[in-house]
Amino acid sequence: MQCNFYGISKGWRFLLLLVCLVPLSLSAQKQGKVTLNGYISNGNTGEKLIGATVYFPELKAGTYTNEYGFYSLTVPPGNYQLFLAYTGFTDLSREIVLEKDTILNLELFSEDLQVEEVIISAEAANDNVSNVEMSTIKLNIADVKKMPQLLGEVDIIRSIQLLPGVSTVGEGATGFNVRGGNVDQNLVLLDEAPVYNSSHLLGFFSIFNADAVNDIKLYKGGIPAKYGGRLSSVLDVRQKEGNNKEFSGTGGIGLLSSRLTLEGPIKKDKHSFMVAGRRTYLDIFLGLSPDEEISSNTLFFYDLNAKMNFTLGDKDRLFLSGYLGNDVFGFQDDFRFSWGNETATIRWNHIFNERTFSNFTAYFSDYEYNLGGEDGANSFDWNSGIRNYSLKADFGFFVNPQNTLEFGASSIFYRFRPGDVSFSEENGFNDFVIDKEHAVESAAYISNETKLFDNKITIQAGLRYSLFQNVGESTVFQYAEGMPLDTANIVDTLRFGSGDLVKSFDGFEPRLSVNFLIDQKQSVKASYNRTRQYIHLISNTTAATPIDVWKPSGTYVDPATVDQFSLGYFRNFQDNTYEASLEVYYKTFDNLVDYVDGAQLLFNRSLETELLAGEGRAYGLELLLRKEKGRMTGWIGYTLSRTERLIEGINSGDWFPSNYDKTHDLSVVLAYELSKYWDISFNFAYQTGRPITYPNGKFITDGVIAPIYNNRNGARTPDYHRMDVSANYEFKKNAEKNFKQSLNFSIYNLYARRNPYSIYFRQNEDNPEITEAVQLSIFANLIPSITYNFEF
Amino acid sequence: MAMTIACEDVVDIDLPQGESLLQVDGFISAEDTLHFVRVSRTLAYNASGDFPPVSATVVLQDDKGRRDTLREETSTNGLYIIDRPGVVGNTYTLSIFTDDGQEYQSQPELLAPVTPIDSIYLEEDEFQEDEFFVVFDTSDPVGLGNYYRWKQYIDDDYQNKAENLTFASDEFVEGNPIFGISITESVALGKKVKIEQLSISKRNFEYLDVLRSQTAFVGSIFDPPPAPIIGNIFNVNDPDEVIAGYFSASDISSATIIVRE
Repeated sequence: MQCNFYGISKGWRFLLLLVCLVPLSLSAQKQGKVTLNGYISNGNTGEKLIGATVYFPELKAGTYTNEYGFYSLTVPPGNYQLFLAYTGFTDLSREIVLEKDTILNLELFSEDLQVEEVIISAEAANDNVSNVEMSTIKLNIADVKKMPQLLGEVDIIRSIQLLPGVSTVGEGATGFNVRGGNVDQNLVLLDEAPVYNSSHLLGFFSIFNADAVNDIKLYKGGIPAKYGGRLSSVLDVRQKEGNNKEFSGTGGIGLLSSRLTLEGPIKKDKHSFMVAGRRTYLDIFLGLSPDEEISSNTLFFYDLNAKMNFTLGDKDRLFLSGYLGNDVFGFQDDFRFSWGNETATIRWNHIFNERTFSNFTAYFSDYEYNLGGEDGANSFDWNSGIRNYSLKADFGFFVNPQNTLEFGASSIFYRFRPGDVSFSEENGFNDFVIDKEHAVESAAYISNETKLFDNKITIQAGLRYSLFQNVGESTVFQYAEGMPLDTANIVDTLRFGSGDLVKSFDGFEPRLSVNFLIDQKQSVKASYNRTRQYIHLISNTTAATPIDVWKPSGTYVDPATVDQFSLGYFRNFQDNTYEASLEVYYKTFDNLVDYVDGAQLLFNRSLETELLAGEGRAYGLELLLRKEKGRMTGWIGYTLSRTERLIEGINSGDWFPSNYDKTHDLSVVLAYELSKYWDISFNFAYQTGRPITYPNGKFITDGVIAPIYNNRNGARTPDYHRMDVSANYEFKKNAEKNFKQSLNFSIYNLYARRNPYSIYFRQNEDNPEITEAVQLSIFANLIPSITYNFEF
Repeated sequence: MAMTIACEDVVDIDLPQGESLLQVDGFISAEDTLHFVRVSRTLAYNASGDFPPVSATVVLQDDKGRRDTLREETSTNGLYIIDRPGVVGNTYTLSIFTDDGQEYQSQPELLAPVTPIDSIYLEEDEFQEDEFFVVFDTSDPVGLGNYYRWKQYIDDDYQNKAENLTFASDEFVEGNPIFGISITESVALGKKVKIEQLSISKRNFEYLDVLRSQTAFVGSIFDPPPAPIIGNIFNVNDPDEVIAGYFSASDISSATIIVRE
């Protein structure tokens, strides 16, 4: 690969300079203070803890461990009480003598919940109130596992959809929508590598095997400067590192799939591994059918996750991780459809000095799909996908307890393969190739978190600069000046050689979050963020599909931007047992890709003729009451929101609601520990029906009666509501062997409501002169399931 | 599998009643037979009954000096008869003068030549005993920009449901012989199947494409969004008036087969 970077602008150079100089100038100022630093990990498994509190009560100085479990605190020398806390873990308090810079790696142990004596620490962390982050939700994987599940598959994305500000076009639809953002506006990261399609089985399940996941965090707003590339959210999923204490495993057998995760030390307390696999086996049942039309079908998906980590002395840690997943559909021998993601990450954490932490990442990510048919003369083979390679460096500089500086830079090389199809020679079809496109997306950021006025005010101010270069090799059509983009107006074809600059875009993305701590129980937070997105998922269907393709910004497609303002009030009750928050947001979208009516998006060499650019706006109010401690845990979330689009040429150029605009959205998620052996849980979701378009007339053309539409999304489906329940039974533990078994019973859609997914219009099959409205419900019945889980 | 628990219910809902539009449904081919143009008004989606006919003076012209005023079949049914066939290579335009003084016109439609169906034959349906697919071969002339439509008649009944809409461009087959086109569902023994291959214009191809996406590709979660189906008729004095329907011109080749073992 060859890339020319002559498009580098002033802003870019300025930031590079900043990134290099700032740490140098700061490393000098320490003046008679000492630094305590190290990792905090789970004492049971050795897994690093993300966001654990480290605090000196006497100094009122504290910090959190970063994404890699590292902390650093610079304080005057002395004897202090050190306090550590992490949700779901027993607090730790110990005395330390700090005379010089000290490395202290600490462990916390999970509360093995003895139902009779739930200890609620009076000093438990009030992160929710004191942290500068807002519009952010951390999900505990153990809590997600307790929730009732569709067919027993623990599904992270489906759980996220129960949070305020997150919605979906409909159950079974791919992905999720955050605060009015499209599904392609979520940066879904798996061990730092972006995942381009987070769904299995067209959208019914997500690709994350919960057993392999350690930590999930969703940013809906106030997105830190270190994240970029997508407009609306970041879903940061981190895989387990692997137990470095002892060999252990988890697994389960369910109706849909079976899964097994193994982890253990490669060298005790130092190196460890994790491997996980999951596969569905519906096709095995299909194969048992005596009907050949059924038994010769294929339908399955699988996931493989793996991670290894190596501790190379006190200062260096190395991680290798990867993911591979695929969906395969086959209809007899005639037709085959498969798609899947692959990611691979190499990560190196290096501690430069007691206050400077670094993370270097190289990753690869790929999404591809393939359609094909083997049937002799009609055989064909269609491939499409997106692939990227990236390098990234992130630095954390823990200046003092009041200031934490983060900065870094990244560069991503993309290869877009919009689609090529080859046919067998016999049937007269010519091979068809749409030229690939290539791009380089680079970014640098700097961000500082400052605590002022005795920690009363925290400000996280950041600036990100991003540069996107659409480069050859590619082909670009030229259209007659001043004429509409139409194939009839193509006057020339420009060919760009490998590495030639086709078009470049750049811009600053300011990020700001402020926390005003009223007292230890309540705070007011505000944030602003601008985000830029340079790659777009070209999808014109109600729900995104696996065959949608990604398109880079270029000659005819501009980058999209979002500006978002959020304001929130955070309050904890009863010693932080209950966390409550109220947030409002206002968000504007510019240059969103949309489509002309009746657009042809697949196999179109001049795709730009089908694209439109639009604006959007979204605003709303989100309420969340959450309880994470005690026998009863869960949350109640409510969202009141509006999401609209404005696109010239659609809906007579008037604002119209987006497909996933849901005025009211209420979720209740509760889990209750009945006894040592039983716990039960419950979900309830209520949402205003989604916007759809009703016809306001019909006409006849060559015998076909067709609807007349002119008011995009002018109507709504009936409201959606659903209740799910589940019960989990834990078998009595075998005293000698550390083998835990449990059974999970779930019922999805308990009262069997036929929630409308869509309403569509057709001619009656028997009497085509009659036209009728038909409601499609995806889950028309209650869906019970039973899953056996084990752990050793 | 999750699909098997999905269900569809016909529901009774209040639909908006839009303005009734003028609609035109017309066709001319080079076949020596009568052709028709229907002029009527659209109905509310859940209305029943016939589309109200419109009384008008309908004129068919071509670029070679033909100008026929079409006669209405009966005095009031809105069905206007074209009693001379079209000529390959000529371009046809329809004009409609309604009694309320409006003047409408179609975009010109070229009656392009079409290649013959070279052979027609049967292929067994592996999964349905005594049922067969009707398959045919044809070829595409050299030069991009040929568009095809296929119609099927089973025992002389024109199959004109939305799912029977089949058409293609020569983008993938440019200049090649094309083998093994199958457009019917499997057909039972004893049936007579006639396939018509029509040349259509690019504009008609695009119209059919939207028409099919709005009528046949509905009912899944991966539907394209509802879109107006814009034909080729316009009001000469008011370009903003929306008129439904299409006037098309085609050359036709055909082949017939009786399903036998």
